[in-house]
Amino acid sequence: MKKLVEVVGLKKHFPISGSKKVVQAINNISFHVMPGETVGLVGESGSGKTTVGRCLLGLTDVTDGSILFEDQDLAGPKVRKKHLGDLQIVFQESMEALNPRLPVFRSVEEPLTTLGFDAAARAERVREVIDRVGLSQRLAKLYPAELTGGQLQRIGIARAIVTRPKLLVLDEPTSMLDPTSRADIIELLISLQADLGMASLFISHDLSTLRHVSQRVAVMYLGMIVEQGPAREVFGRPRHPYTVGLLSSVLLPNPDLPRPVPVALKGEIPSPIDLPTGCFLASRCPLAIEQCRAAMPPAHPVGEDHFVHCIRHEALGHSDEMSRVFDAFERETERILSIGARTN
Amino acid sequence: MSGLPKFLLRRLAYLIPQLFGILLLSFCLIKTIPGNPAVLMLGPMAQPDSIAALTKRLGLDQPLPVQFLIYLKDLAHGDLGTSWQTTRPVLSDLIDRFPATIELVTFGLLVAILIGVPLGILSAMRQKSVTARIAELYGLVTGALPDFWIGLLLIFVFYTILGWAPAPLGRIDIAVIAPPTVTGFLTIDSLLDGNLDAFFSAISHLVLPVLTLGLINAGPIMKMTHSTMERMLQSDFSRFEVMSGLPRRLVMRHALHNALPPILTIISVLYGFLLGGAVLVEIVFSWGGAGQYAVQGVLNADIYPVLGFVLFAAVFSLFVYLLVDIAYFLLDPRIGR
Amino acid sequence: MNGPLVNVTDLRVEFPSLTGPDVAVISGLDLAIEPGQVVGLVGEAGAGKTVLARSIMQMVPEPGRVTKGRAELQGEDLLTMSERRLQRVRGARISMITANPRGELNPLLPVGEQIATMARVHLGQGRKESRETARAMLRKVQISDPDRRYAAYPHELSGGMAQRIVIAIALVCGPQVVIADDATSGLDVTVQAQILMLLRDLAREQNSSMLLITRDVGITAHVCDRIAVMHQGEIVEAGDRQAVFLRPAHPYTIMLLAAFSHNKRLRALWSHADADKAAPARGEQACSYVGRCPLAQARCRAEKPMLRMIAPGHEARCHFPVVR
Repeated sequence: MKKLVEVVGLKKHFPISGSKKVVQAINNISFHVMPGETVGLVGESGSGKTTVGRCLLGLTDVTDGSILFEDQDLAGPKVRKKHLGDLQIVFQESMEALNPRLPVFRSVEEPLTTLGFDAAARAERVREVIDRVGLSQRLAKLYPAELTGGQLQRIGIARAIVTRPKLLVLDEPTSMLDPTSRADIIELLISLQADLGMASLFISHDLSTLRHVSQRVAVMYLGMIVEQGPAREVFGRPRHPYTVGLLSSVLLPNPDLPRPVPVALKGEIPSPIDLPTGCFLASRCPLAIEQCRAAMPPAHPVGEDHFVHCIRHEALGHSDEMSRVFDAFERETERILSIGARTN
Repeated sequence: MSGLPKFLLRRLAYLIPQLFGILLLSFCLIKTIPGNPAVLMLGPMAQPDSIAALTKRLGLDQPLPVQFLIYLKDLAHGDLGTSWQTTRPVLSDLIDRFPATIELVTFGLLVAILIGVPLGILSAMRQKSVTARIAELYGLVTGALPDFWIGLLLIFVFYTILGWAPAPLGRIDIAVIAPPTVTGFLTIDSLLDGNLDAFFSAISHLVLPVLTLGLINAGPIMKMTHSTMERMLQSDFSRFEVMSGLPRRLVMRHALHNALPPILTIISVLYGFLLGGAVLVEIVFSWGGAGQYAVQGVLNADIYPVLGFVLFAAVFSLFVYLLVDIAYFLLDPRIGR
Repeated sequence: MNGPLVNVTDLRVEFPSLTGPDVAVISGLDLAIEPGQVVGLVGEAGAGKTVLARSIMQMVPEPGRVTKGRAELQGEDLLTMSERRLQRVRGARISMITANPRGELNPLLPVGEQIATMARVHLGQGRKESRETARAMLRKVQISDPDRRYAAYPHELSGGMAQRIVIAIALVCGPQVVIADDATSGLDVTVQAQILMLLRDLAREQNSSMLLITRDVGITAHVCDRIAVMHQGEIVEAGDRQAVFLRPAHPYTIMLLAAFSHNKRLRALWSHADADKAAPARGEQACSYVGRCPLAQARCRAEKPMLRMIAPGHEARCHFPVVR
């Protein structure tokens, strides 16, 4: 199958005013998204994951590297214009992306106006997507301030899918929501994707969500993809110390399950301004050796379509402890939930 | 404090272009004032050819840029031109008059600070209290009343009716021998001279105009103090200090420390503004200061006194701003490092 | 000392409303913290968790006010305490940590000085002694190079580092209770766990009790001894962590746990998130969860349930608790 999106050697540096230094937000990353596939992009704040989404959408220019959409470089003349509507984004806070002075359906139809739809076709499409995201038509006539967080996020999704995009970039779509509405929004996204056949890039720091929604994942740390591969592989048998550290920091609400800490990351994420020459994790990694600080580790294949940027990945062992904990939690939670539930 | 010299150097580097810009702008603006100084100087009976000759001698027939360059060249030699009204070099005129204005404005501002800052703090501390209401009213009144009117009112009450204050005619009693000029500030010079008569006379002449300026300008200082103190007291760090059981005194002191930069800014802006802005008060009290001198210049197309005043005021303001920047630097570790 | 260290009873906090009578953000709330205990308070945004914490500190956010109830520290009511006496209690016997560490610190004072100030004010230490105390505290919160960091200003620190300083300020006087209100939500995931464990270990070492307030249910399962679940200003379920997480009784607690499940059917059974329309009217004598509850019956609309014991040490505010 042909790749829908291919990112090759992407770099993004932000200049710091009054200084010759730059913020190295993205440092030479490559990945791709197949049609209809969900790729998870996971990382903590400052890992550059949001910037990747913004680069894809053309919301910020790239420093180096290329982004191909259906084999065409989006930087080429008129290419982005041709694919207007094929790439859409849902932001973390839809409230900020919506015009507070317009009823929300106006914001939903706006992308269609740019694409030259006439009024009748727009109204038709808007009705359709409002239904599709599970909101009543009445709510669409309200203003952003009158909606709840979960409803706003549904509007944000409606606005993004109204053009029937081929790729949906989801930038932390659930991180501002309460756990309950979070689960609903994720459910909605999964079903939308199945129905509409879109591919999506799901950007999040929430591992238990990504584990659930994505087919493949890429783990970002300080603007680098340190590990990428099939979700089952990466979460089941993580090969990068950072992935392991990230997974073990997930606290599941079950006191009986052990919290395995095979890799305890020390300290905090360094500033992305003066990055060291070697592996960016070396200062926090318990496995780091002298060699790690000498040069940036290249990609090692560790399985089918599974790569890790770590020269010490063998020292990590084949830990699947975390995966077992996740599965045990899921089983245990289902058992708890089954009790007392009405089965009508 | 290793960063301070570097910080100062960077600030000083801006000084020259700033001064140049101010001069250029005021030169152009003054030149838009209609009227030929040559005509005014020679009077209504002058012959056209003598006007032309004087125009040429003054360089007024040259294009504007050339006139400006000539002015700059003279300036570089310490020549600020001559006032045709006083027929004296502008530099010596200003040296005579500028300290009078600065003395007046400085004392006025000190009084304004002494009224405005404590009142602002008190009203921020006790929201909705009587003090806060009085302060609010006070801010309103000072914003609405013109300073010369307050000056006249004070003269009426304290000179005309009560007779406590000396006549509003200058900086010192005519009967008192003025001290030799050292700094130009009568209060300081008289003390240096050991001449207490002159000192008390200077002080008594200062009281009413200083009070006028102080009462009016305490308004904006109080408002700024009030609003920034209020903001600081409601900020997370003040709340955390209260939550940590720090005594109220300490919480207030920390809040004030954080509120100082904006207060300093408004004070420095007022300082620069008052050099010219106090002119009405100068006129009311026949102060003979630089502001009065400059206004005379404007009214009579006497451009060199005006330019000279602008230059003096600009240098003074920039110097004050520099001091404020240094104060910022010392107060706030986030600045300039 | 017998009885709980902190005892909140029948607390009611009201806020004026623009459109009608005052709104009770907290009502009929009871909460006890035993010496040395770590209590987790969980609930969604808007449940009134922060208002509760601030009420205990006697710093209710404006324009709210406490209209009923007591909040006792060792039998002494904090809500009626004089400002002067409160000043000696806050920071010394009861202290609080919140989500925005960089905002909590005075930007113009070196961080070490801010810790030392606490020791001077509350422990009566001198200049030199307080500095030593502050340095020792910096070491305790695992700040590397404490001598250099002592002189650092808040803006020079990362979020995690700033949170360690705030923790140091909160703990330096060895308080009996520490209230941590959303203390780690602003931090990166890999740092969150570090800070939480540090906070718990330090509290344990000093034998301080802790009230850990969070939206993140997962955190409490691993850090707390006892859990209280809050919904719309009321405690709806409380018990030790085993009971609350493994044998949840209130449908709201179960719904919170269901959000973690990927089983769509089970989750749908417990969450009626869009059913808010049917929520009880303000002041109505009904269960506050009735609008969202999948198990609601006629009685739930007619009568407000009380918090009652369903097993030893396990309470729920529900007419029909799920019993296992």
